[in-house]
Amino acid sequence: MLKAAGSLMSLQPLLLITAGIIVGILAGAMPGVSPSMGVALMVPFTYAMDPSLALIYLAAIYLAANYGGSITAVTINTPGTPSAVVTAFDGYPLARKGRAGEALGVSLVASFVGGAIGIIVLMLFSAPLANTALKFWPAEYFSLAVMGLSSIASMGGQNALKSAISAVLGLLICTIGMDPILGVRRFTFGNVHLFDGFEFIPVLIGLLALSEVFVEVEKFDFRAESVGNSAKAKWPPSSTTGSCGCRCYGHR
Amino acid sequence: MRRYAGRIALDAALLAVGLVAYILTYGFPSMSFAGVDAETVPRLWAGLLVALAVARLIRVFRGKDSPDPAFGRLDKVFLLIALLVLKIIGITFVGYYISAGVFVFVCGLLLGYRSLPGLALVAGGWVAFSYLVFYRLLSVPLPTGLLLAAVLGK
Repeated sequence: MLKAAGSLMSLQPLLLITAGIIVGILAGAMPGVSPSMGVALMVPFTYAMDPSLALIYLAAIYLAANYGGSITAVTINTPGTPSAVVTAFDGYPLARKGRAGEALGVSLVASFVGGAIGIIVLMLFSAPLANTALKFWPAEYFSLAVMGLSSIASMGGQNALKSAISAVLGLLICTIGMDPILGVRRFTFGNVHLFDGFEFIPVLIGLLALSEVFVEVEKFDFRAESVGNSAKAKWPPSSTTGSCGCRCYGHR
Repeated sequence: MRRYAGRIALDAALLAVGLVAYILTYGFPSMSFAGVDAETVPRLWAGLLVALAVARLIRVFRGKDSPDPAFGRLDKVFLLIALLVLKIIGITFVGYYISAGVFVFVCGLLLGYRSLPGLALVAGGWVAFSYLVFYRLLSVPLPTGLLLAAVLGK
């Protein structure tokens, strides 16, 4: 591992990492271009590269794109990637208070720390995790789904009924398209585009971005505001981190 | 009840969605060999949606929910929605580029932006950006529309 890390510390890999991070952030910030799509788009540019350099470049794009999705989530409440949906919950209200820079800073640090921990866990536990994954059968998948749905209760707070309606409506939307087991077309009305159901990103744009546009149009107050340096990413202040280093921003 | 008109409309819409989805499930073909048919899961979610929407409506009619927040320029919102629908229909006939350009231009006017050259520049810039990035760079086949296809003979 140290040998591999050492090979990164030369000019060419570092330049490629920089380029990959720039491309990745741009791809992630573009709603509709997911991290994997960003990587797929850049694959043709790596044909002439050394395989290890190509992998470094593509990995940098993938990881940076995951952060890039949070930029639009914080600034315009439109997550660029599915993983940035939760960032919008806290990030966008902060941006509206003129603290977009702090939100972007926290998002950047959290993306780095989370990504680093994820990679370390993957390196150490990928073999036992793969063995566990093979033991997943319908009962386990069902338990996992129940756990996911129960987390909605914690997010809904006092509006449990609204949360339940949102969850059920989402589940109903998921049934649109071809039934995965029997191949029966459900709620497609003969439209070929609906055979595969809804993609996640268009649903996100429709539910979050479009609703935000409607809210702003309803307010009809488009006076220009000088944001100055408020949208510039800032290193999160020490007060935002607790003793464990991971105190949630929204619960301050 | 006027103070709850928005809440009632929303919950009634959800109720209607649930009911329509539930009724539509009766049109799905049944597979006798399958333990769980294709309609079981959507029927479950549609039924639950109906039940939850009714629960919300009861809550609203009992006055236990907060009243609607004060609304602003709903006329502008409906105009924008109409414009969006026209744009989507327009894509089929005049293609993405023309309908998107016109949409951006008219949308700017609708939102109170009065500098026509500026609007034209933004609309044209968006069309040029779409063409260069999506069509040329990313090879996304954006629809040219029936009219343009007939004119260009494609």
